[in-house]
Amino acid sequence: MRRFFFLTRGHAPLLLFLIAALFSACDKDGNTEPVIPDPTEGLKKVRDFADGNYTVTAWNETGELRLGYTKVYFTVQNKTGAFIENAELSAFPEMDMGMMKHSTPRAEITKVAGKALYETYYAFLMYSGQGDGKWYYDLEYTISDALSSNYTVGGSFGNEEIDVKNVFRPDGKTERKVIQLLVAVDGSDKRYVVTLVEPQKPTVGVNDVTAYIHERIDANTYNPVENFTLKLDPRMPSMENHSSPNNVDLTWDVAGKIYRGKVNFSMTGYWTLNLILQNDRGETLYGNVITGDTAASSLLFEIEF
Amino acid sequence: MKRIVLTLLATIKGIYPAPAQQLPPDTIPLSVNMQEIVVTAKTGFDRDRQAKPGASVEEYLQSPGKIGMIKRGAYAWEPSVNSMTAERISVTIDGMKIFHACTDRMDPVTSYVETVNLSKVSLGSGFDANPNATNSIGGSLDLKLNKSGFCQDGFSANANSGYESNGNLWLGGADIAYATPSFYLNSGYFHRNSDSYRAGGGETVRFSQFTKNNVFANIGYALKEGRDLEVSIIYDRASDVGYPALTMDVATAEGLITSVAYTVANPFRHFYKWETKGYYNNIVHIMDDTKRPPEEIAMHMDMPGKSRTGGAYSTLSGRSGKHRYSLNWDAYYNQSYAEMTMYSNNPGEIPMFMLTWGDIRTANTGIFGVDEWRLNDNYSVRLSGKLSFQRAGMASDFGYESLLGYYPGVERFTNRAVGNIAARYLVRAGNWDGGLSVGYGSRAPSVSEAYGFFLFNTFDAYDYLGNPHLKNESSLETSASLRWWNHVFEAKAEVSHFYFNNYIIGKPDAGFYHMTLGATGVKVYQNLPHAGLLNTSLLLKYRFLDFFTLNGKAAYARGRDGDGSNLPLIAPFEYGVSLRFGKNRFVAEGSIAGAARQTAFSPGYGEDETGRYTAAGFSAGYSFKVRKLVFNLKAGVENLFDTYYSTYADWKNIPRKGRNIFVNLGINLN
Repeated sequence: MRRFFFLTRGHAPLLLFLIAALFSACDKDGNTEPVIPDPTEGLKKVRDFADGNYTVTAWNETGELRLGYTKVYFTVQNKTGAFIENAELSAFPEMDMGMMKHSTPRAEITKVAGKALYETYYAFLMYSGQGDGKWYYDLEYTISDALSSNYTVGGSFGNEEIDVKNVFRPDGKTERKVIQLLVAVDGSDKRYVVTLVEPQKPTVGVNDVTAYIHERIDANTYNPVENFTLKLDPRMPSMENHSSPNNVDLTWDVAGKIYRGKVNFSMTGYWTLNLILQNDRGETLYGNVITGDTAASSLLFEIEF
Repeated sequence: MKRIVLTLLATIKGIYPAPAQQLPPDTIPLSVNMQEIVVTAKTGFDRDRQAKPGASVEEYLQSPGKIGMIKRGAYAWEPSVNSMTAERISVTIDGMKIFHACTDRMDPVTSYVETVNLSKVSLGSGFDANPNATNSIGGSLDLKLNKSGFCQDGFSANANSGYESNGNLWLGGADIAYATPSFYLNSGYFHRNSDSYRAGGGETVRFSQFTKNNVFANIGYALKEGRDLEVSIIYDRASDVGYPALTMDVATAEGLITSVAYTVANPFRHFYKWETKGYYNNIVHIMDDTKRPPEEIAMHMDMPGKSRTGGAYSTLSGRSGKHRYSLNWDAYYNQSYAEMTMYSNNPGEIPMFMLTWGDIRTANTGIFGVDEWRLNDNYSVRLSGKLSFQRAGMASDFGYESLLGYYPGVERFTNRAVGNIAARYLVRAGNWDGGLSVGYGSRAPSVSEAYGFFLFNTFDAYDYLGNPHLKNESSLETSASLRWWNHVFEAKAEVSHFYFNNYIIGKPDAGFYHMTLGATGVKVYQNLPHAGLLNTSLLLKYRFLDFFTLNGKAAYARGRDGDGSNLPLIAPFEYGVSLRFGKNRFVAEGSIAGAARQTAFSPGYGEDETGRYTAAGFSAGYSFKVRKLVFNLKAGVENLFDTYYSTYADWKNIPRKGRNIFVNLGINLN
């Protein structure tokens, strides 16, 4: 009697929910056509590339391409709007500054497992309009029939101008340092690009901090570098260079193929992430220790939240 | 009238103001008692017998000896008992727990009451048997509310007003009371307003102004014989309070203090009283640096804080044969929250924000028992004990994340058990009496000690970081007192010693970067293995030529940590002498008070040597009756010779008031 009362009164909403779930499950079972869920949920469109047969759309969380690290997703849709899962994409961004052209560190475009979605990132060294330059984008796609390996379709888009926005601190005026091209000071004259990835949404306390390091081989070739170290010293210049404990230097994360460390923000506000780039032998390639006379490293990124 | 006699051992402290006259007891005290300082009394002239009737609660409490007052300005002085402050003592209002809301100790809870709210203050030294004292090692202050009580007094009214020349201080208030055996109501309002005061020599101590308003009401209703219901409400609001010793002032400090109590007389055999009370208080404290010249402000900040406490206690008091005993259960829940928004001096930067108390929640419940066994007219033994459980931690995710940044892996909440046991032996032989007490107890770290986040101490210029891994601090207290008296002369010597284990104090930690602009570094609260604290006092009283009373007192304290270094804020040798003349309706009193040079200061905590000083005062009063109205007129002068001085307890050596002439007029209608 007591148990019955307990079930009917206390658990009535739960029971109703279970019954409803059962019925809706039956409904789905009766529907034989596979429904591919929209892979772009939570993403904003950056732009479309359409050739009449297929539409390739670039997406990310902000809907913008920005200086420094920018994550980009792609979808490929046919005329009916169905999402294509077996496409291959490749792209090449290039900045045209009149006297010279260069590309920027980037990854291959790869398929996101389990979704009709493809992903890559760019580490934009410059923003559109910087040095009177413009960014152009070449994109190619091929779609192979899963049943017949010798039947493929494809297409390409060339010299499409893209808009890479500058990034600002919260005042909306001051440029925020998020990427740095440097020349190693070890005498090798090698050039490296260090790109801040996380924290994208910094919070007070301990945050993951991640970064990419690429070696610049030539204007269009940037190879990821492994097993270097980024020594980290976060500071608040407006608080007499306050720093925090329990920060962890960035080291190579084999699985994530990224440099990973920890940064501890003891309060909100304007922080600099002062870094020292060291190679796999522990030799300093760039950046400096902060002392009483030296308030900042020559390699630094900015976070303000 | 149910008036429990608690005042028998009332040793009158305070060279200034002079307390009410008390005759020495003629037998060993029978009650579970503590020392008391009479502030107001529901009958009689106690209030008007004070040297300065308009004195603030802090002025009443301050005296050399057991109670000290740390001053950061003219308002909201911080009381210490046996040279220990808030984290080591218990301050309760009629048994109610109440905690300050300012991370920088600008609002000791005694600042949220007015003298009109209070009848007296019970002072417990060490592990004295205060049933509602929790986490206290040094002693306790229980501020007793000024309730009319169930009596035949009928209607009465009081009005008080006063003026003080130094600082242009105005005070005034009125209260009314209506009392019958089955119902009472008393209610009143009090106001104080002062400009910045002048130090000796005439220099104005900038930013020492304040305004305070206070309203209160007590209502009692006897449901039936021996079943009383009582409600108390105090609302206190200070505004525009300057703190010359600090870098910030206070815009408002508001306290709402409420309680409902139910009392049963003779509930069971061998028990004569059972009181149960529920209470809630809410304190909101808003700091303000906008009144300071911009060039004196390193960085503009907003620093609001709040402290809310709800709780209950139930006390059973009884007597049987040669025993008097009491059992008590208490529980409280406190929320302490403080934030800091810093506005960068670099244009364009967004404000910086942190929680300095990350929504700290403390739940505590305990049981207490005491038995006083009066062996015969000459001996009594008292045993008491308390055991409490406490769970404390951070409710705010933001606060907890920042704590984790400094203490990786730290638990969000911690459980602790604290308690104390104490024994007291009193003996009387002829004109002698004496006492010996031994107690051992522990306390949990305070909110700031465990969880405070970059609390800047202007005294030593360090940012203080709480430490959630602190162990409980414990103390072994031994104390002794010896008194000789006859009908004209009384002398009493007291000595108490506290031997601490795991003494909690901030120590510099070079591993952390300071945050506050201009700070020297960061101190982290740590447990020192040992520390010791000695308090001694000598009181003398001599009545002569019928109308004269000579009071003298001297006190000396010494505090050292295990390495022999001095502890901070320990009084040097202090003394006071007063001569009082009282005849019929006329009273006059002259007094001097002073201290020797403070040599045992603590440079590590920002102290420097404080010089010797002597200050003198004089007051006179006259009371007269016009029909049913009793007038009390009093005038006097403090710091007669306009001496420039500061004491060991003056934060950053801010000087005390220079010469101050005051007048007070009180009118009673009975």
